[in-house]
Amino acid sequence: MNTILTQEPEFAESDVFRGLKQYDRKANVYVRQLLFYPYYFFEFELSAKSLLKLSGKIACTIDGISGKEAIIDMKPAFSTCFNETADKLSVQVEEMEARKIAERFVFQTISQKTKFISIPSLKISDCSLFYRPFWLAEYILKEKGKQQLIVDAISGSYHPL
Amino acid sequence: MNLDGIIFVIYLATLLGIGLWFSRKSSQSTELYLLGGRSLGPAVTAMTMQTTSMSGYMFMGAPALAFQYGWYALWYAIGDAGGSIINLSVLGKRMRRMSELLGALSPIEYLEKRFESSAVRIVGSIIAIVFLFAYVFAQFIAAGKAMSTLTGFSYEASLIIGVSVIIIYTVAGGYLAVAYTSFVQGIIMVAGVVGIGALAYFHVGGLTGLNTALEQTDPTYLSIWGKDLAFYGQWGVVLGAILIFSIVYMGLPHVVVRHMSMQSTKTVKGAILISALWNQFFIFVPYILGLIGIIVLPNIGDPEMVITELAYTLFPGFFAAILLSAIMSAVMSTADSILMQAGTILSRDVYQRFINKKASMKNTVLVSRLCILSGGIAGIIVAIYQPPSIFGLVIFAVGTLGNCFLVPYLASVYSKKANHIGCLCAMIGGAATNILWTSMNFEAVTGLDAFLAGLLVSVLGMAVGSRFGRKPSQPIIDIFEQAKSNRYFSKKFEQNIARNLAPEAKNIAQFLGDEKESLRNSH
Repeated sequence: MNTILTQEPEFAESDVFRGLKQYDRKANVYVRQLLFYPYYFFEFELSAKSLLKLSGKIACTIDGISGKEAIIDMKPAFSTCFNETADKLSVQVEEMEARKIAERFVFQTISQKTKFISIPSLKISDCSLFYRPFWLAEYILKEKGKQQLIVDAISGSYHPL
Repeated sequence: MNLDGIIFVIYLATLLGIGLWFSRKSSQSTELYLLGGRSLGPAVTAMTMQTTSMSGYMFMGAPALAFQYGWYALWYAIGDAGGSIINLSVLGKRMRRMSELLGALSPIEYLEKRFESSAVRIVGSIIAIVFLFAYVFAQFIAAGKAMSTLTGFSYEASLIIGVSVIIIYTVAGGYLAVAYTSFVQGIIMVAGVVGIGALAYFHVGGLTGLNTALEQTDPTYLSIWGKDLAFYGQWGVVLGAILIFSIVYMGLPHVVVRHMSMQSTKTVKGAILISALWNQFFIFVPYILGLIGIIVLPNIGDPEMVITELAYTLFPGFFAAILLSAIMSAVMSTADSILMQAGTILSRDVYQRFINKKASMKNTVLVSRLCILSGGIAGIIVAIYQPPSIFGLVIFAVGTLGNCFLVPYLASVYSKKANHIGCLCAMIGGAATNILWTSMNFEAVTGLDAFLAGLLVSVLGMAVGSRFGRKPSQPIIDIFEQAKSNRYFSKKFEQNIARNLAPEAKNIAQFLGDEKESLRNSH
């Protein structure tokens, strides 16, 4: 049976409920379901010449639907689960395309944020497709009606739909 | 080289040592990624943000303006301090909502998506680069002056030495090194500016003492119209002074790098809050120091050196030299990061997108570095042969940027008919008017501030231009209407919305919409 890589949610349903409720006690909050959003993870070995040596690892994610890039802070911990869930958004960016986007993005970020003399060399050291959990929630205010939002189950940050 | 110059060399060597230490440390970590930001705590991140915003304008331009015009200069500070508030409360709400619905991550991307034209991005990027270079030139002049005071060399020689030394220092860094050296520098500068501010404030007997002394020197220093009532009744100039900094935040060419956290963290949010509070404090201090300079240093030759001279007057020479060294390297580090931004915008948003789509990464970096190099050389030439005032340069840069972006931003949320032709006319017309008005000094003839003139032309450009070309598409009109509706969430809730999740939110909304549709069809 096929399996997929996911991240374990750090924010449980009750955490999301409490977190959203804190802004307005009168609001009714319903945490509806967990959705899995696809990302590609790319890790690179970086080495560049500057007066001081610049080397280490840098990694990014590529949004599997829109191709948007993001630099990540630390090595993610993945777990496997069965590829059966209906709440999984389907990937729309091919892996090769994602790889190209990742290379360009990391290169540009390095050239913008670090100072180096030579052109840095980048080697992919890890690559995988994974699914990040997002809670789908409903926020209901009596006088204003219903508003849906997503809550990142890893970082706890949220955004209305 | 005098003693102060030697102190400067030791100062740089110490910074280099700090850089070396953290560079080694950073490459040892296997779990934390470079540039991920987790290894820097909120305090270091906040101080790094603070030192970036501490520029030549703050240390030299603002005090010189207050020295020249008296309390009138505070109009600029009021606009600066109120800018973020206007942004958040007036324009911000609708723009944020629309930005969320469009899935845009940066202001320029927002304009491109709202007006459905990549030409908007090219024109915006090019004007942004002009702005960045003008701002960098101001930093170079500031650095040359600071270096000249430190070493005792001529301004020209100091400028070249200063630029070279600091570029070597920043090239040497690496990310963590730069972050931690900024942290050390930030502490010295904050302590220095607060120290000078407090000592000078009590030296002149507080605000009452300062105002009494100013009145005795020349009562018009206290006027809201400037010394000798230079701008008496010219509301156009005063309005321009207030508006110019209040809207600059919107037009700043942010080069956004999206970050995604792999564990729960509050680092960035905490840092932004600390930085915002400090910014409010530091906006006013340089102007007040300029006013104090009128009393304490009435015979100063160059008003842009007020803070430096106050440091040497109020502190022992050794501390003053350390403070000046910190100012000097912060100014250059600001210049360096702005040059880097300009290079990135040119290579990524113009060269790679529109000139050579298949450009290799090496070529892209080469274009970026050539842009930086030519900007640096042009900056040195301008700073040596025709040095304008730092204040004049910054106002010109900020004004051009504001005239380019303010009207398109306003029209994007308040006018349904505003289209890409209108946007381009407003951007080009506004920026060109400001450049012409400033270079021809039309303000003297018309009594109308260059910024205000640019604003009028920009409004006209938007109104007339939007009558031509294709109308906004139906999806954009739908988003426009949605953004107009009353905001659902409370203010506190809204402030904490993670804007960088906009693309995910857009895609998930689409996914849920499709699911609903297929369910309906199956029934």
